[in-house]
Amino acid sequence: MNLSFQYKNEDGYMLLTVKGEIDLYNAKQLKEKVGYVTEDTDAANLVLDIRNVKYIDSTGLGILIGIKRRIAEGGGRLILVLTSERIIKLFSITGLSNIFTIAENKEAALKKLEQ
Amino acid sequence: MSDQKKDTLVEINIPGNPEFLRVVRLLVSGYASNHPIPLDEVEDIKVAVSEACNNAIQKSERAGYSGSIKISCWLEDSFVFFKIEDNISETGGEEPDETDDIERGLGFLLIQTLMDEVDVDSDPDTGTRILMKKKIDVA
Repeated sequence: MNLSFQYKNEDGYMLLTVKGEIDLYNAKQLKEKVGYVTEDTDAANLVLDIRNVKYIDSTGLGILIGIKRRIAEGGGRLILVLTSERIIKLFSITGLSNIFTIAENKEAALKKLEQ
Repeated sequence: MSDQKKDTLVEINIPGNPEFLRVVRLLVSGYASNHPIPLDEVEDIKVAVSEACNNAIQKSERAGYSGSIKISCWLEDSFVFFKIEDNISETGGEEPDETDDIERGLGFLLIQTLMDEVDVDSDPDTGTRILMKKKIDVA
């Protein structure tokens, strides 16, 4: 199953919304889409809204780690918008909740960007 | 094989291709729906079984051929068991890169945390067998 994406170039950040189930089959779509939208903007920061992602596996988590690393190398910040208790549980188990900045909605994400 | 295992055993085979991972998750959901397993635990099992299949599929991709993956599930003594077996050789294929290693590490961490007991038996020439179980409240 393919992922669906929506992106919006905002002032100072790019907002990318992802919908679907991220697994080994389609995780590369996320990597490619983030590469594409971040090349298309001067904004170094990315707000990645994954509230409509119902499932993510280790491949998807690995891709998120790579995205965070790449954005940091470019001097930017990655904020994840995430509310699914299931996915937060996976972040917690893998220790990624200590590495990623997570917000519950877009407004909270923007506040974190300002910090 | 115990009578309970015989009466509850379901087996499927999938090719070592990631497009079949969704079928695996549907199997877990479908199997669990026949038994009194809480939804949150069904989701845990779904992640663990899918991660075990990821491991086999990534081996298959590195080996350059589509091996076969067998998934078996059954109930026995208040546990639900899932066994994931592949016949994919790790010799002669591409070496895993750093990203593969990170993902594999995360995958096994998830399996070990989400299931009650995990047993891995791996042979580089003949394949891997991952047996995992989780306690359930059988009425």
